[in-house]
Amino acid sequence: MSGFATDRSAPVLHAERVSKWFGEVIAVNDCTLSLGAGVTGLLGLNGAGKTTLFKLMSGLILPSQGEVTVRGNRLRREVGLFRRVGFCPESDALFDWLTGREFLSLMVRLMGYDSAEVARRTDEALELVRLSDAADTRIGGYSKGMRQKIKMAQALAHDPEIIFLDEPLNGMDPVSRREIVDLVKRLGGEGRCVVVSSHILPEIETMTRSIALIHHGKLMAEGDITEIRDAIEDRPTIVAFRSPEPRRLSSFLAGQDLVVGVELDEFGRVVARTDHAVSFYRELPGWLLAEDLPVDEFQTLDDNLQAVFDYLVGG
Amino acid sequence: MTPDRAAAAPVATDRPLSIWTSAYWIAFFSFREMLRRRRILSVGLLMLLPVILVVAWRVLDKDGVISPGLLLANLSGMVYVHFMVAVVSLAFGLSAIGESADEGTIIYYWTRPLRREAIYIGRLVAAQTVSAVLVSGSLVICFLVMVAGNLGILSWDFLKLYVGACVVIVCGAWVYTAVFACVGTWLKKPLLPAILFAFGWESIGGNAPLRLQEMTIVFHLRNLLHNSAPDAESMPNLLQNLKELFLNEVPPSSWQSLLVLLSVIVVSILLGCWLLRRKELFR
Repeated sequence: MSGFATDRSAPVLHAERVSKWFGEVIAVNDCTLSLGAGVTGLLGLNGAGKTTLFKLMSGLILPSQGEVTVRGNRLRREVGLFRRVGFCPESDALFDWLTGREFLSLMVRLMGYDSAEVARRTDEALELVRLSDAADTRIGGYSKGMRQKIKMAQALAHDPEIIFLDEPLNGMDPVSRREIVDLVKRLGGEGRCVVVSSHILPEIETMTRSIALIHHGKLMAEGDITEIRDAIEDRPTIVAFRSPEPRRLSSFLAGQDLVVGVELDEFGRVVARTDHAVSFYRELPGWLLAEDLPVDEFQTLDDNLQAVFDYLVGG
Repeated sequence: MTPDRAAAAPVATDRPLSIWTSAYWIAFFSFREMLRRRRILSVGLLMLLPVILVVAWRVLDKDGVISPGLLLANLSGMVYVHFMVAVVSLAFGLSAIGESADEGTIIYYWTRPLRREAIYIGRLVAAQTVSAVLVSGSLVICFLVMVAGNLGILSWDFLKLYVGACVVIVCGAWVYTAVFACVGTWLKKPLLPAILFAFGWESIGGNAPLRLQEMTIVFHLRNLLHNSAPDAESMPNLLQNLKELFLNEVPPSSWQSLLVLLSVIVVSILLGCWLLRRKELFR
């Protein structure tokens, strides 16, 4: 797909104090979120309000309060903006009696292209998701993974600037998963705003480090996983070091302001706790060089997505 | 997608597609979709009911007790207008929008640069076309069974009666389909209310005295049939003549009835479009 010459810092999609309630149930509560170029994972437990927020952002439902804008315009009011949007739904509903090619042709046609362009984009989209061989097979005969791919293809065939992918890896085999993960990363790298919703954290982690986490309808965190992790002050980040001189290393680390605790674990590793991980990582190379401290290996034990998620939602 | 397309690819305008162009494509596609629904078979078979009656007439009425004109007038006034048209419209009108929303396939229209009005009109036109094709097909088969080896019945009056009946019945299919499409857009479970409307209100109200009957669709369809062939001795015509005689009821003109039916279609479409604009998808 082509690249997008967008200002990566400028928000493409903006939700301003958005709330949605159904009767007395508040599904999304006062969420403000700005997304620019790149891949963002929208995370949440089942029932957290993730799907509702996803549908609010993609204009499929209207907020009870607040507003969602695409480049400053309301998507629901300015439906022409859907030319810039690709949406891959979670629902498995498809026109089963159509072939993949017929379905894509219709979807591209409804974007306003002429016949030649429809044919070209359809072929390209089929190739993009590696469904060219099954293009003339009825969708009803597709496997679950192929159905996911054809849904992806209709979302991408018109070169959208904003792409919503709702549980895009559902039902895919490992090879297809890798292809789609690579594709999603590439789309983000091209400067598109890609929003991926999933409740499977490792899936998201393979695609992006940028997340928006929703819990009980509230947006709990937004940004890079490491930065979010760093902001969780009551849970110091845990860093483990392998060193031939563990005692010297531990006593040095214990004397640093950024470190709140040091211990030796059962594997002989030095385990340090810091409540300012970003600063800690910035300072670390200088400390090691200045003190001539040998370190074979170090790793952060809990700045992965699962740990961040667990800390934030109390899992 | 290839990089050389990048320059030409992004669409220059953010205007939605023209309402008529998009409605055309949606109608074209939806018509094919509806023809492939399983219910087309069951409704199609049901449409053979009048044909069976005509076959029975051919087999049993050797002495010509029932004239072809009388048979046609009764078929159109009682079987088609009161039953067949309502059934076919229920089957395809209710599902025009409602089913697509229930299944979740409507999401593919909603995420295109299309006005919801275009989606509604496209789906409705497709449903109306399918309804019209089914009742027309049934009428054509009836006609062929009536005249096959019996060309003597072909007269100017008979043809006029037949064409008039066809026009009114197709018109009825359009009106009912428009009403049921609106109901299907509005209600989550529209079947029971729609059946009550079609076979409850329309049957009772359509035979109520004085102005009340004019508030039903079936009355205006019957009135059009009556006006197109006032001399046919069909049951609806006889009832109408009795009402005129004993209740001093003056039926509206054909133009008035057409205007009422057209108004029903227009109001149903406007209401349906409004409902679809407000509809949200939770699947």
